Amino acid sequence: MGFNRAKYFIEEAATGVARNSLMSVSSALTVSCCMLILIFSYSLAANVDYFLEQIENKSGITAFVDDALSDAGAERLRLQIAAEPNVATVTLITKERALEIMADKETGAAKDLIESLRDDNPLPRSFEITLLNGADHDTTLAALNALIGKGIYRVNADSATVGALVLFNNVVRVVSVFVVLLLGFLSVVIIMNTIKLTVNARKTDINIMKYVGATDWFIKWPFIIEGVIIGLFGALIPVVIFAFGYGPLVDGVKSALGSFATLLKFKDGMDIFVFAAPVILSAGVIVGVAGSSFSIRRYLRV
Amino acid sequence: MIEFVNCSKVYEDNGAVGFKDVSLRIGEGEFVFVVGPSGSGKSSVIRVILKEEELTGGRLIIDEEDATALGRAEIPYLRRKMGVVFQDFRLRQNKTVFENVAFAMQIVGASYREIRRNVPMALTMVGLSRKSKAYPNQLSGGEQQRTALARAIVNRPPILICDEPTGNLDPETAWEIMSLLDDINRRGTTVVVATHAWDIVDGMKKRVIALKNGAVVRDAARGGYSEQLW
Ligand SMILES: Nc1ncnc2c1ncn2[C@@H]1O[C@H](COP(=O)(O)OP(=O)(O)O)[C@@H](O)[C@H]1O
Ligand SMILES: [Mg+2]
Repeated sequence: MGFNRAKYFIEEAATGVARNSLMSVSSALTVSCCMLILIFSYSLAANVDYFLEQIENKSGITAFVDDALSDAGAERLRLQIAAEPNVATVTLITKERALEIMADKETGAAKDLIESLRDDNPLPRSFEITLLNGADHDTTLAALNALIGKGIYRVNADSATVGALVLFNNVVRVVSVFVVLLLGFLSVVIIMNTIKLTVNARKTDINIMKYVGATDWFIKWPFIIEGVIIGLFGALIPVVIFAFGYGPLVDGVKSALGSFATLLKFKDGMDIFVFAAPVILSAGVIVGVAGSSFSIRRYLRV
Repeated sequence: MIEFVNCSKVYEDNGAVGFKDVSLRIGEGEFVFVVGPSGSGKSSVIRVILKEEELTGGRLIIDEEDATALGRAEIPYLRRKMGVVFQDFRLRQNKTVFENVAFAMQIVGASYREIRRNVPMALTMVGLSRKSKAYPNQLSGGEQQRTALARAIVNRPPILICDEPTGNLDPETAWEIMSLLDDINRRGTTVVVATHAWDIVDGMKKRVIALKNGAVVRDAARGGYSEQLW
């Protein structure tokens, strides 16, 4: 496509947008709303994923070691557990360390009481086990339970919480995919309607172009560019809103959650932005091309 | 240049016969009138040449190539060999005279320099050089038809096709347009004009192909409109 043609196509597209300015602006804004919901529902999904990751890391499994097992036996057992496929780390908590941890959580009389147990420590040794993948929690748990009576006497795991979180995460994912598809479809329909209006207004023009010997593509290009302009502007607005709005939104959510929020870290806005901004902008372009292509097709049969 | 071999056109939707069993040959550089009463099939012949309508029988040859069955993608390139002028001018209303003419060059990918040079030349040729910035609704019918004519010839196509080019014009303007068509023909362009303007046809003394009810009833080398054959 030569420079002259490109210039002609862009001028034609700009004329189309300008002539239908009200309709163009309103459909760009509607696309913006769709894309805004998209980008924030993606942020939600990303954050839930991130929380889960944090919680999975914290909610390891604790396995308590039989007092009868020697230290060497305990070390053998530790290596055996570490060899499990989904196990990330296995840390031995000695009796002394267990007491310290317990004492650190208390104050005053209770703390003194715990300290007084130092010489006749009733606490067991334990293994703190972290996992590679929270979703496979149950498999690992079964493997550990199989060791009960072989040096381990109890296994503690917060499996209900982890299970619920994994489920919640999956629900959020499915819902986001659904939202993406629905809003993408909606955006295409909106742009289709706008371009249809312009195409309709230029039906005679298109007819004339065909008589003079214009190819279908020559006629289509301005309309496609028009769709892209609308789609791109529609996408640009939510990207800008996200860039400036994500930080304050996270702050707002944090203050609403109060002290609970201090336990969780939120995803950095930049992490989401570098992925979502290009995706949303290209979605704008694709939606624009699709919308205008669909609406012009039937007018080209002359 | 244009050849119909046993051609016919029947419209699918209402079964109307546009023309039937028409055979004719229009040579390079000829000036041909296609005449006949309303409904005799003149426009059908023109639309088939432009590939706006498909033949339902026979063969059509344009510029030594078989144009009977062209794919959708090939039609634009065939149309570029022919300038077209219609009764209703068919100008783009929101474009100036210059832009309307330049458009025909833009679609073939002409450079900015070529457009700057050839559009004013074409406008001068049709006598419209002073109106190049005007919009169609600021022009008289004659001026609009001159614009359409400039657009039709700006790429110097070998063929010029006109369907009732003077149908919306007063007699004096009609004659001016006809003499322009004659000029264009003298420069080597094959010109086909469908019309029922008998006085013009009589005055021009060109080849006349007469249609009646979709059949060729007369083909006279230097004919008039109303010779007593039909
Ligand atoms: N698009 C069309 N669909 C159906 N019938 C048509 C169409 N165009 C022309 N006809 C019919 O074909 C016949 C020839 O018409 P036309 O070619 O327009 O004649 P003319 O141009 O000489 O007046 C007429 O009977 C007319 O009704
Ligand atoms: Mg007619």
